[in-house]
Amino acid sequence: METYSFAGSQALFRRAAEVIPCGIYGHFSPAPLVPPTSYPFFAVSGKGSHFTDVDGNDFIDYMCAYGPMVLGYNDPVVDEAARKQAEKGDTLMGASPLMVDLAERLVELIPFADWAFFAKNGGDMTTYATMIARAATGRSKIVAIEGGYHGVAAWMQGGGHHGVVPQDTENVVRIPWNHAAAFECVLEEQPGRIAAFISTPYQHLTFADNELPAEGYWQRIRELCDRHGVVLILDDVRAGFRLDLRGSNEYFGFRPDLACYCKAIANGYPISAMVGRGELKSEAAGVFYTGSYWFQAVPMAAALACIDELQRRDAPAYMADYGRRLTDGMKRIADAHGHDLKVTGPPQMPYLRLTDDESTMLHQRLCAECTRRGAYFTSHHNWLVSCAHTDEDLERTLAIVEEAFTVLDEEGGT
Amino acid sequence: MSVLGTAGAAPRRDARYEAVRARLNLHAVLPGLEDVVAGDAEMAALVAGTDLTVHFKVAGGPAAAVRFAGGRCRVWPLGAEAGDGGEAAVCGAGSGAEADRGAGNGAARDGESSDRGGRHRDGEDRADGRGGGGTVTLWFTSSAHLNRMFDGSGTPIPLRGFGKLGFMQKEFTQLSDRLAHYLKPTPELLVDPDYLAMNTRLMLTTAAFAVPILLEHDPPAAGFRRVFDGGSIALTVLPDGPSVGLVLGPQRIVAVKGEIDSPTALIRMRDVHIASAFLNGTLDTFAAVACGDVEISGQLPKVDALGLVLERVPIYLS
Repeated sequence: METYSFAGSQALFRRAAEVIPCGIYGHFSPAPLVPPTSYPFFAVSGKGSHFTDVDGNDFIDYMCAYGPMVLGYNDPVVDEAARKQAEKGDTLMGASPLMVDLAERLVELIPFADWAFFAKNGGDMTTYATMIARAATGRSKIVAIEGGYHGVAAWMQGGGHHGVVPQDTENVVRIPWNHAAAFECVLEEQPGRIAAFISTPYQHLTFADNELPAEGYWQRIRELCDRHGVVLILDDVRAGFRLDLRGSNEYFGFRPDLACYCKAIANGYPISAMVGRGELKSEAAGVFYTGSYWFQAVPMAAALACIDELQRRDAPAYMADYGRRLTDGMKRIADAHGHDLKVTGPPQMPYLRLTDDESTMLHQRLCAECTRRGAYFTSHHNWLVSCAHTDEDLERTLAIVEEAFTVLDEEGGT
Repeated sequence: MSVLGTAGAAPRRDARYEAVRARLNLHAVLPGLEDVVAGDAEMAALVAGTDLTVHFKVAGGPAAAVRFAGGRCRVWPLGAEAGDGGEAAVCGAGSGAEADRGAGNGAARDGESSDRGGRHRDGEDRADGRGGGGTVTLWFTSSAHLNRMFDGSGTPIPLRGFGKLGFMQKEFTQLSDRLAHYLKPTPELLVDPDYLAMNTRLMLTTAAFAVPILLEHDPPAAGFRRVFDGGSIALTVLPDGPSVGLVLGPQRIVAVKGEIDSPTALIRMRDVHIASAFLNGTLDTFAAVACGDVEISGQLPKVDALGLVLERVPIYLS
C-alpha cells in the first residue's frame, strides 16, 4: 500500500510559521498530531468524505473538519442553495429574510425551542448563553464540568493558560461529570449565586474515553436547576444534529433552557445558532450581542438546505450505522493482532484507544500509519463520520487499519 | 518555553514569592554546580583537593547541602526545613531509586542519575547531610536574604566552619560565578560549542528540578498538579543527551537526571541547538513541533501542562 509524504505541507508550514503565530493555530494546529510529520497540514479540496492535501494525497476524512462537514464536502444540494443566495447577495444592508426562515425552521425542528439566534462560532453562543443566564437570574456564577470545553473565551479556559487572569474564571465553578450530587452541593453552598449550569450532552473530552450520561443524570440536573432557579445551558456545538436532529437533549431525554449549535448546522458554511425557551426570550433580547458577519445570508441558505438534507437522509441513523460498522471492524482487526481497542461515545462520534497502551504512544503510531495510507485518524480527539462515508470508504479504511497493525507488528511495536 | 531567558509578568515580590524563589535557587539552580564541576575542567581543578560540605539554611525555609569530595560536587536538599528541627521531605529532588519507590514507574537508569535525597549510594555522606571533612553552615534570616545572595547582593551569616570561609570567599565564589555565567547566555557565548552544551545541560536540569517545586508552591502552576497523576515524562536532547526525567507519583513528583525507562510522555529535541533555543525561549515551539525539530509523544496533556508550568520559571529566575 502506498504511503504518503508531506513535503508540500512541511514547506508551506515553514512559510506559515514566519508570518502566522503557531504557523497554524487553534484546533488545526499540528501540535497534537503524533508525529506531525505523518500528517497533512493544508487541504486544497474536498469531495464527499474525502479531502486532498497540498501534496496531492487523498484522505478518507474521519475528523470531518472537526465537525462542520456532515453531509460531505461540496455537497451539491447545500452548495447550490448557497450559490443561489450568493448571486443575490451575502452581507447586505439589512437582515436576510432567510434569517426568519431559519429561525422558524429550528423552532419547528427542536421541540423545546421557542426562538432562535444566529452568530458564527460555537463560542459566540456559549458566551451569549451565560450572559442571558446572568441577565435572567441576576447571579454571577456558572457551573461547568471539569475539563468541559465551551470555546476559547477567557471565562471558560483554565487558570494558568496564556492570556487568562484569575478574574476571568473566578465565577466558574467546575464539578465532575456525571455527578449530580456535586452540583447539588454547589447549589447548597452558594445559594442564590448560581446563574447557569452548562455542559455538553455527554462528556467528550480530548485524550480521554468519552462518557455517556448515567441513568437519570440529566433528569436530576433538570430538577436541581428548576428547584434553584438555574438556567440549564446545553452546549450541543459538537454533537448537535449528529445524534438527533431535534437536539441531543432529545437523544438523552431531557429539556434544557438554552441550546447552542454550530458544527453540523450548515455543512461547513459559517454559522452558529442558539435556541431557547420562551421565558428567556426577553432576556436574550436585552443582551446586546452582535458581529459584523452574523447576518450573512449565504450560510443561512446553506443551513436551511443542510437541515432539509439531514432530515431527508435520516442522517443520525446513517452515521450511527456507519460508525458502528467502522468501529466493530477495527475492533476485530485489533483483536486479531492481540490488542484491545476500546470504543467510547456514540457511534457517530467515536473515541478510540488501545487499552494495552498506557502511554498512548502505540495508538498514536497506529493513527499515524493509517493517516499515511489515506485514512485520516487523530489519536487525541473523538472521530466524526458523515453522511458521505460509503461502503467503499469502509472497506478501504479497514484494509488500511489491517496494514497499519501489520506494520506495527513488524516494527515490534505490538 | 523559556526556563531562564525571558521574564514573565512582573510579580509582587512578597514573602510567598521569595519563598518559592528560594526553593528554586536551592533545589533547581544550585544543583547545577554538580555539572559545572563535572564538565568544566578549570572548575574541577579548583575543587580537586577539597573535602568540604556547605549547608545553606533559611530560617523556617528550605535548606540544601553542597558537598565537595573526591573531585566531585554533590548537591541535595537537606531533609528538614531549617529551624523546624524535623525531617520534612523536600519535594522535587530525589534519586532514581526514590523515584521508583515513589511513583512505581520510570526508574532512572544507572550512570547519570542524580541523588539529591541526602542518602548517597557510596556512603560518603551522612543522612544529616554532613560528610567527612569540614562543614560550613551558612544561615539566612529569610528567603529574601538567600535570594539576595543569589543575586550577588546579599551576604550569608556563617554559623559553622569559620576556618573554611576562605574557600567560600575564593573557590566557591569562582564556582558560583561560573555557574551564573553558564546560565546567562548571550548569542555570542552560544556560538562556543562547549558553552552551548553546558548551558543546555544546566537549563534542562534547572527546568526539570523546578517543576516539582512549582507544582507544590506556585499557585498558578499548582492548578496543573492533577494532570501529573502518574507515569513519567522524559526530556531528551538527541542524539546523545543530556536527558532528564520527571517521575510522577501520587504523593510527590521527582526530578531525575539521565534517561528514564518507559516514559509515558516524551519530549525529544533534535539537537543541542534546538534544545538551546527551546530552553532559552527563542524557539517557536509550536512550529518546532510541527516540523519535527521537537518531538512530543505519549500523554500529551502532561506535555502541554509541563510547558505551562515551565513558563513560570522565568517569573522567579529571570
